[in-house]
Amino acid sequence: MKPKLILLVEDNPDDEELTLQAFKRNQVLHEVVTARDGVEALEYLFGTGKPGCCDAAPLPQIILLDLKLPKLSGLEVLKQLRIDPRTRLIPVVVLTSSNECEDIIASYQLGANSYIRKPVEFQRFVDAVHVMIHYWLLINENPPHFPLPA
Amino acid sequence: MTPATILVVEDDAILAMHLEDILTRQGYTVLKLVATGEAALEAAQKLQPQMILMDIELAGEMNGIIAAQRIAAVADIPVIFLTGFSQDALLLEAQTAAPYGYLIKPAQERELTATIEMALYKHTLDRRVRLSEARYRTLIEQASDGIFLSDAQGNCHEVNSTGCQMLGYTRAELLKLNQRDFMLPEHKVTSSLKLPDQSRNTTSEHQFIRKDGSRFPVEISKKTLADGSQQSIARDITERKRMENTLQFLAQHSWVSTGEDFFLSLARFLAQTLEMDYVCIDRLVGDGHTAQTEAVYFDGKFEDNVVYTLRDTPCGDVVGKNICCFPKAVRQLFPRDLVLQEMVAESYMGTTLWNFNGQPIGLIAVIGRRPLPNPQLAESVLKLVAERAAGELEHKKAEEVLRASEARANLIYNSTSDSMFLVGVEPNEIYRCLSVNATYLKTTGLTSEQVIGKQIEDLVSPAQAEYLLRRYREAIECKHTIQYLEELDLPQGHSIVETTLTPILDSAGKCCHLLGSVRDISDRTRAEEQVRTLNAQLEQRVLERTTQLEAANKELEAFSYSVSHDLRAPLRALEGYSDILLSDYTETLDAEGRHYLGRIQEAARRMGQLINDLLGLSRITRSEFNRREVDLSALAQEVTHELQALNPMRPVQCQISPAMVVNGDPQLLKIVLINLLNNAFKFTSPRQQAQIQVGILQNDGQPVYFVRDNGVGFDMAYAGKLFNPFQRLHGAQEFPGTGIGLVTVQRIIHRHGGRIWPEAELDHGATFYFTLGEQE
Repeated sequence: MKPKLILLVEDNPDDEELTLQAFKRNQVLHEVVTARDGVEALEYLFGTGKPGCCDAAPLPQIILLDLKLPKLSGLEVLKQLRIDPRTRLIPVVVLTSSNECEDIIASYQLGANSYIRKPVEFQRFVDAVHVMIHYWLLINENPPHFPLPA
Repeated sequence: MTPATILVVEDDAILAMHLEDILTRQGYTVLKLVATGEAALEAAQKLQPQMILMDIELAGEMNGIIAAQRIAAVADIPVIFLTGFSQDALLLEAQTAAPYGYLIKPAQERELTATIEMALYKHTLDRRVRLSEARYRTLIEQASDGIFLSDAQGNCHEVNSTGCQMLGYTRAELLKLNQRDFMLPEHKVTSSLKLPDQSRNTTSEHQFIRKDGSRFPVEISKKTLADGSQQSIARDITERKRMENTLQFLAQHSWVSTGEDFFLSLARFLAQTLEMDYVCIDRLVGDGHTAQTEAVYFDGKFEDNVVYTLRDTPCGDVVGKNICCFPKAVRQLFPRDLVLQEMVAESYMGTTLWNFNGQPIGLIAVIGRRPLPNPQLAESVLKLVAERAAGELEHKKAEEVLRASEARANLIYNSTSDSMFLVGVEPNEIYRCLSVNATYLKTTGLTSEQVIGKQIEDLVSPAQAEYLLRRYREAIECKHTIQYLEELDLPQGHSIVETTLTPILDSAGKCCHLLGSVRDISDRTRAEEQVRTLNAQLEQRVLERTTQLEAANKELEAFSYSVSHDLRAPLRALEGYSDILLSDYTETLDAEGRHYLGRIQEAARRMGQLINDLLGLSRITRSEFNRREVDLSALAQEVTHELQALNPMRPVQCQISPAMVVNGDPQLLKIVLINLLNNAFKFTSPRQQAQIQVGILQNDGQPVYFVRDNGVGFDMAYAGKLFNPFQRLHGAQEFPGTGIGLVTVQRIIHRHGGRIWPEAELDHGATFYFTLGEQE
């Protein structure tokens, strides 16, 4: 199986570590790229970042997006993603602490494909990650990666 | 020529036949020729001739004169004497027989006829006079008035039987008396008429003295004839006099009386007029079987008024009747009437007093120690005064009511805290102050002399007077109450007053008075001003507060958002790393280390739950509130199904009343039911047969909903703590929970304007009642 790319947008190092640990427990072997704020995420995706970051970075099969981020919020990132034809169709799973109605509604309105609230119990989080990865990377037929007409 | 029947009495046969011959020829019928007085008497009686021709000198015992006298005693037949020659002595004697004529024998035929005709005519006249006289006498005898005839000196020479009865004398006794003997000289002439025949008819009132010495009033109509003799007709006017006195009394004692109470005067008057010993005038009170005396006059003096019961008294018999009369022996008829017994009463007469509607309202009773001499008179007098007494009684009652009402009105007038005044409306726009109350004088500091009778212009400044006149005109023209404000400088200082002016109309609908009521509203005005200022300040404050609150709300929202994210993240780290340690480093940790890691995980999860619940609570306060119709039964059904699905192993019997439709926010009500029913599920878990009931009952017409379970319940002593955040009545090991659920429920109920209260007993289940403020 061709390894796929996962973009994890997460500012909290603990959450990052625990997410990675959850991937590990689920034997997820795909490559994981972490962006630690909204700006970094967009830079990665659109290749507008600092020198050294390759212009033609591969686009991820799925983006795991936290909402509460420094600099640019998760919802702002989502909005930008959905505007750009290159990223418009990439599945975005919102992975957040919030279960505020406003956040859920706003996420879907901006084109999120899924919304998962991170549980406190680690085991439940592991289970959730398992289902999510299984679904989005194995079961679901993701859109192909080519630029779409604007 | 009258074809009269004639008896001829003549002892000379030749002459007799000659007479018969002449008479027959003249058309008369000669019934018989007789020769003696005895035969004449017999024939006159038997044959009843219309005329007798009688010879004076007859043979036998009885001459013509005697025969004529005897015949006159038994029959009314005119007699003409025949005589041979004129003998003066005999003719004189013949006159005693009152003959109708004389004829000298031998009578000539013409002379005979003329004498007969004259005698027949005269006899007819005589008979008429006699008849008339007899009728006249009968009339006099039967007259109800006494008739006296006397000579110029007053000596009686004729009197009728009424006259005798009136005075108590026999006719014979009276005819020996002079009028002076039975008539007092004092008299009152009431009329004097000159008659056409120049005689004079005088009517006057006199006092007659009976043979027994008693006196009584009479009215005498006296006519003096030409010869000086007098003809008097006397009428007993005792009754008329009494009625006159009664009328006079009534006329003198009018509504606005002589000063003495009408009823006292009347009682005394009745006692004197009717010659009775006891008089009482009563008003009926209460049930009509009780009387309250208005006046009691007994043996010449007034007694105190009393209230007594009418039963067993003759007065009890009076009520409802016009007149009730016991002329004698009344004491024996009413043995239980103490008054009658004590005064040894003999006679009684009473009359009911009726009001204008025909209802009995009182009575008059007169009681005497002697039998009533003239019941008719007493009755007439009583009837005459009864109507008036009834009127007075009503009048007195009305006056008492009026006086009481006036006193009340006066009390109000003078005790009200408003100043009041009465202004008289006079022509040419003159308004004069007629009356002011005590408050008016107190407020203005004026004396009544300074106000009463003064015109408005004298009491206030010209500018104010102009203003008031305009108001007065307005009230008079519109004919109903108006209100206006005035600013006055009173001794206490400057005041704002509100005057209510009421025009008082006379019966013609014209305004005759103005009644004013002045209320000092300075305090009220000041208070209103203050309220306005305070309101404005309050509004400003509310505005500021709202802004502050809005800011605080925003902060709170930011805070909640932050909490939901930031506080949970470290918890996840705690829990997650503990988990990793437990699974990845399990061999390097001993049992105690693993235990502590487990405790860290447990604490972290618990805190995660707490944060969740608190966020839920704050969300309720922040969420919008939309009231609409909600089927609470269906909602409860839905929630119990969810809970049953979550607890599939629990046999819980749920009973939900149907058709509970409420007015509330569906989202929030669902949270209420989730919390209450979840509690019910939770606390019935030790039960073999868990029973949960959702129902409705009515309290004072307001619906009260309830959720009841047969779970472990709780001690009501701790009920007050139920609705405090984080307060729990059970350990977390026993029943899990954060202590936020009921706080959430209460907050929702309060947002609905309702209230919630528990009813429970330790180990015997719990019930939560709530209302939803649906009345508003």
